[in-house]
Amino acid sequence: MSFSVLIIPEDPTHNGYILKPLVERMVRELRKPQARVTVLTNPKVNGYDAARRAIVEDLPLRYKHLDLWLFMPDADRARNLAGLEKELEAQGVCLRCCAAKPEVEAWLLAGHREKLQLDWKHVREHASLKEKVFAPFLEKHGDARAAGAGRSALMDATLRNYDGLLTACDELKELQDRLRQLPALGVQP
Amino acid sequence: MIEQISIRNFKSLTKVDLKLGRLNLFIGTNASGKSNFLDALRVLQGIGYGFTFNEILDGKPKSAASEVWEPIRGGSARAGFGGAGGGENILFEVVGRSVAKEKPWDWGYRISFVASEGHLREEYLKAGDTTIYSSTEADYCRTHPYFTVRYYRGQKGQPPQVNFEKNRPVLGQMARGGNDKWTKSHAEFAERVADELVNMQRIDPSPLYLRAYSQAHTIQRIGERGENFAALINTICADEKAKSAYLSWLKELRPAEVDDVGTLTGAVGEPMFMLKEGGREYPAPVLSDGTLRFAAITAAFFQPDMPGILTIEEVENGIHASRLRLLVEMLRSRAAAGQTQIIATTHSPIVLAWLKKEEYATTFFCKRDEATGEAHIRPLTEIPHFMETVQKQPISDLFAEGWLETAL
Repeated sequence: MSFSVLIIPEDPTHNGYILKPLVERMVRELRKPQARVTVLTNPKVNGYDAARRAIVEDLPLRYKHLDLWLFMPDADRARNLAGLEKELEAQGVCLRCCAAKPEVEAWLLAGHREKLQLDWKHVREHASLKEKVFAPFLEKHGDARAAGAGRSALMDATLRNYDGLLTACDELKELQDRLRQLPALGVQP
Repeated sequence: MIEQISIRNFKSLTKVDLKLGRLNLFIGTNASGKSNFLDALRVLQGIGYGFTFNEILDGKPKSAASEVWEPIRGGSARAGFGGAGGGENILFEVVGRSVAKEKPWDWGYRISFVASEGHLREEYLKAGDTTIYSSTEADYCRTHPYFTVRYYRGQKGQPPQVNFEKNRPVLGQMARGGNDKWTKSHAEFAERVADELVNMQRIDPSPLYLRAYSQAHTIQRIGERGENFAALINTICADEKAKSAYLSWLKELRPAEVDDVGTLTGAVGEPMFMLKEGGREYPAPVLSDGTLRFAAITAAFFQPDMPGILTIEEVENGIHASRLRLLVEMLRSRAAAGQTQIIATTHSPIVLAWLKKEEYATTFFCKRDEATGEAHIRPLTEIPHFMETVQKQPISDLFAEGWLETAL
């Protein structure tokens, strides 16, 4: 049976290159290799507040039919995500939230820790990860001519050690465990 | 890179003054002046080549020194505003900055001519703020066999007057040298400015050409209609890193489908574009128009010999609405790389929806005045009430419903 997932990022342009392959890999782990994973592009959300507003106001009518929604914002501004999940559950939407510590780019960087000048603990607590750590990393190891400036290839490399990613980013491990509890995704006997 | 351009009396463009950026989009209804603006750039390119005005406007056959030059739409008879060759002077003024060399350098160029006569009326060239030569309307004499400019050789006293042929721009004549009438450095500067004007590439890929075998095996630049597309793919694929980057865009266009890109070979080794999907090779003739056009436009950004200015007409043609985000991202990222200035026309509200607010200053709305036939071109930031309205209403809706027409 087909399984459809909607990813709601804060920034569809760049985060999509990280989130889509990540979620595809995660649902494959949960034995849904044929799952259809879509990154939300319309309405075009820009930032945490806009994304949260869209989830409550705009998306239920348009995407209620999808099996699972994943809201994956940066952790710095994320608040009361459990409350949001409950609010959507009341509307018949299966929403799970996973805030990236400190920002989504950390999930890509998890597979390239040996190339960073900072130890991983500092990366995970960095106040300006996107600008101060990720941007110079991408400039050095990405390819400005490629789609997403090379994010896809770098994320592919990260996902080659998927277990290592979950170990480095416990919020992803927690998300996977929570998804495993869903009836549609639970491990079959 | 052209930083500023002014146009007077060329086709419907009676009075256009624009500040351009690295990525420039021209929007508007049919016959609103978008293509005329691109034609104006082609006239500047012809000026850079040193052609006569008649050759620039009416076309030129292939010669030992140049390829075929296609006429400007309408030719000299329709070049001036209102047709009939234009009784008024056609004028172009350009402020440019070269970024190709290690050290950027600025230049200014102005030219005025009468299309029906094919004669110069006014021209100047500046290096930064320093004038190299200039003329005024007062210098012009209809019966004089030559066109006279004042040449500023950097010495005290009255600048000497120098005569040039009047049926072609002074710029190219000065670039060719002048038997000590002007300095070698000025001839070289004129040549560099002429090269800046020449170094434009227009692409409007046609699936007919994209599906065909290329005559060349490798190539530095694709043709306007997509000629030698497969040869360019061969060139890109010869560089593993370039191929990987190019392929990444095609994979985003068709996720979970495209595995590889390359060429198939004909009887005498001529290449044909091919995509590999699920282990099977799909040659260009079985690929969709949209896939081929996206592949060709993307390939144009991987040419070994990149132009200073790349113009693309109706950039969204054939590309599915859900993939236009990708197109905008590609245009933006390639423009930001700084080597090539992009000037494209579009009819797509979705392309506009993916623009950032800071890009509105170089997104130009074109509108034709029905009463006079004149085209008006304004950046979105100068459309009355646009910036307030777009805070509350999607730009795609404003464009699609014709709000911009009502506002200008």
